[in-house]
Amino acid sequence: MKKIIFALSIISIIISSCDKIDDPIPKDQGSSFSLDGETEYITDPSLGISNSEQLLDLINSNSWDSLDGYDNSNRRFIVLEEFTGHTCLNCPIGAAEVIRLDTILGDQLIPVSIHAGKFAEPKQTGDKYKSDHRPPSGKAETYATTFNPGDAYPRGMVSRIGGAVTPVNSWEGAINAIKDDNPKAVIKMRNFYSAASNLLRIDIEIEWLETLQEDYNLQVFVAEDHIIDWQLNITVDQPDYDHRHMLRKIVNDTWGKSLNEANQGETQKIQYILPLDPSWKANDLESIAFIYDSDVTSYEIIQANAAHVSE
Amino acid sequence: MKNISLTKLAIGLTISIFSISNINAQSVDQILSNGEVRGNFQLDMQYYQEDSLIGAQDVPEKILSNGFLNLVYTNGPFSMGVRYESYLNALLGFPDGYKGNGLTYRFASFQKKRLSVTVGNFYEQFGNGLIFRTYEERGLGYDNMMDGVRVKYSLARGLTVTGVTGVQRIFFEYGEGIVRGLDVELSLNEAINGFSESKTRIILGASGISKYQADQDSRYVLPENVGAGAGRINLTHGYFNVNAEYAYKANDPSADNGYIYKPGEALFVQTSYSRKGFGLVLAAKRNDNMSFRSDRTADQQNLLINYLPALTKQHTYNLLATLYPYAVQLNGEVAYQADLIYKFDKGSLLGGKYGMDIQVNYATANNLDTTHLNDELTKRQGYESKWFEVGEVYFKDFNTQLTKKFSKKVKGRFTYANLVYNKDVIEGKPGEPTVYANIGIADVTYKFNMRNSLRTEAQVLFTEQDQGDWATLLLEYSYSPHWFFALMDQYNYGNEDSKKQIHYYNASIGYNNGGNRITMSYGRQRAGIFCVGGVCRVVPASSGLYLSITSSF
Repeated sequence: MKKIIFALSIISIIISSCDKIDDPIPKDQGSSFSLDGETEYITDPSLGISNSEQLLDLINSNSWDSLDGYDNSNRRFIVLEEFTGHTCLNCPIGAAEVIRLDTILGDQLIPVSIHAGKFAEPKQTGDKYKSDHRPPSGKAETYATTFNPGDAYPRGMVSRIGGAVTPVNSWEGAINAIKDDNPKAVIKMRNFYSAASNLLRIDIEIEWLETLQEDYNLQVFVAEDHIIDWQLNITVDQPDYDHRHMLRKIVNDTWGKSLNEANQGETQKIQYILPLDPSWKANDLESIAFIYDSDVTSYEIIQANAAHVSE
Repeated sequence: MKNISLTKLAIGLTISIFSISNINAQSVDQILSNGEVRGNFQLDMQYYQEDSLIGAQDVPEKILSNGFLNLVYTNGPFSMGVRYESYLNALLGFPDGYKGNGLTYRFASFQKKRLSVTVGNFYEQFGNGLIFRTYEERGLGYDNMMDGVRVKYSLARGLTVTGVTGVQRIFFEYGEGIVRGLDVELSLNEAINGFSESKTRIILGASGISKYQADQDSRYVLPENVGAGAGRINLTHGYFNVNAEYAYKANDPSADNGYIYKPGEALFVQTSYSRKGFGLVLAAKRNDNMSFRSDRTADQQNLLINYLPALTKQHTYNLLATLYPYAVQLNGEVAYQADLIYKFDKGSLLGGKYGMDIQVNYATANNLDTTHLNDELTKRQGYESKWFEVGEVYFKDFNTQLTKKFSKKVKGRFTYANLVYNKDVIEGKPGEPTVYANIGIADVTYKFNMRNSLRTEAQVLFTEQDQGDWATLLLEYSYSPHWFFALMDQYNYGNEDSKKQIHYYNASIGYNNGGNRITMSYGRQRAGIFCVGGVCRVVPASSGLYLSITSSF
């Protein structure tokens, strides 16, 4: 009997020699810390923060200017993600429509221009279109293949409703269909910016206004406005085109962070800490946060907010 | 992947030399005189002709060949062997990875009292293979052999432990995953005093397998170590036998399952009752997400660690065997099979003067009944499945076979089969309609005398789907004990496209003598699927001259 138990014990060891993965989606958004038991602090891997003391030291050793996001406690904010590229001759038409709608809706509309796909590739020769406006690590390409598999431009999504892009002339109608919806959650945002260190802390508080059955993810972006560079505008190579609301960084990985269950009245606080690229203009930067249904048959963004980094 | 290193052969040679040098009482001559070399050889060669009518492609090399030579040296408790393989280039339909020559298999083993050790290449199976089976099926180009170490030890009377560790073959290389495993088998009749003479025989088994593969994926957090376990029982009481095994596999995201993290499960139960003139086998199997490979990115038949047995009859007649055979669906299926054999005695009403055998077989395979979870961005469990419910039909096969000798000169075998074949799923061709087919076969042999006989096969297949109706006629003349000659024509007379109503003619001649067999044929080979045990290979259309030589010694 001892020999049988011995042999079965070895089998148990072999079987248990496996890695149980509870969260398959990588969290290359960085390391997670708790300083006050209330907020989850998530630091960018490049900061090399490995413990709470280092994080506290980083926060305390820098001076921070703060800017708040908008009040969306009574409104459903809308994200308009526009797929574009600098050699896409019709994309300025899409960009113009984004600006027109942004002017109408004001802070309720959060535009994001995603440079991805064949028209966003930088030219290897010549002196035009050499800039790479695509966010690093190919994550925007994942968005393009997921939401714009037909590789058509210009195309966009209004709060990811339908989980796929639609043509320019459909955006306004889609916005009007949801702009008066009651919000299901509130996102409060505050950016803390250290100009000396070029560091950004994006503080986010989510409050659920309803109890929801779906699983939701939080996605955080950094976008830069007014980038002057080449753009093929119909038939003209325009060297001083004003690129608006360009997605620069996907802060918390391609599909964001899974949120706790959506129970009415409950809140969840998260703060992302990351370095900013020195080539970005802090005054034109904006952090964007939105909550979306992680069911791949949905992807719908139910609430969003944005906050400027620096004045 | 790592190249097969011939230097590893030195391991076996070293053991051999070491053994000899330590046996002082015997001379080298005496030792060598006890040794024995056995082996076999096979060469399959084809000269290809382009035949646009049947879709036979032009082959730049004109001649392709597969060759094998196995040599095994045995001397008492020691044995070693090699296999040489040659693909210059591989016959059409075999994976492209088979290209060139080399020693693909080499091993050395010894046995000392209760211990048996093999180093190098080996094949092994735990239980029914649900979590571990390595084997070679040459006709499929299938070979997932291990390269590593195997140790077997008899811990006690009736209790055997087998441990393995190694990497698996993929063509002329090895996969990057490492496979480790242990199997324990206990024969209660041997282990327990007083139970050895019991009419009830019970063998229990338990096994575990773990594979390791580094995670270099940026999309997902992948488990680098994946474990699987299985428990089994084999119970025999008189004419009755039950063979059952349950297996569980931990999260194993792979290309097969779309990188979901749902655990895998498999249950296999086979019961049989057999006595003279009567046999009944009932079997059931359910496998859910049980594709298990040592490389999570592998596909087709590459680097499979386990084997999920097919619960369908292995047909041999051409139309039945190669037009619509079933391939086991690794991601999930529920399958059942019933097989009845009954022999009508000589002199009985139906048996007549020489008796008669009848076999009735029914097999069915369905998809699992699943509910998609839409959790690709969170837990990635993929789906939920209900244990006792089934989904879409994959395959059904009702067939019956009657074998009867009519006189001293005439005997026949008559087969009817009704097939339902989900081509969309089985062949991975979305949108293809399910095929419903009826097949009838008459196989009659007329024996002129002791040396001369003529066998005739007439086959028809009726279906309104796919390529429509087929007919096959075969005439095979045997001149015992060495020669045979055959003529065959397969005719797709029911094809809706009159240009595809093609005759696939073939003539062959064969010679057998003293373990050598030489076969030559000329004609057309239609495109089809060749399956063994639910594992399949697509055979493309070809035309030309085929030569096969086999020899064993």
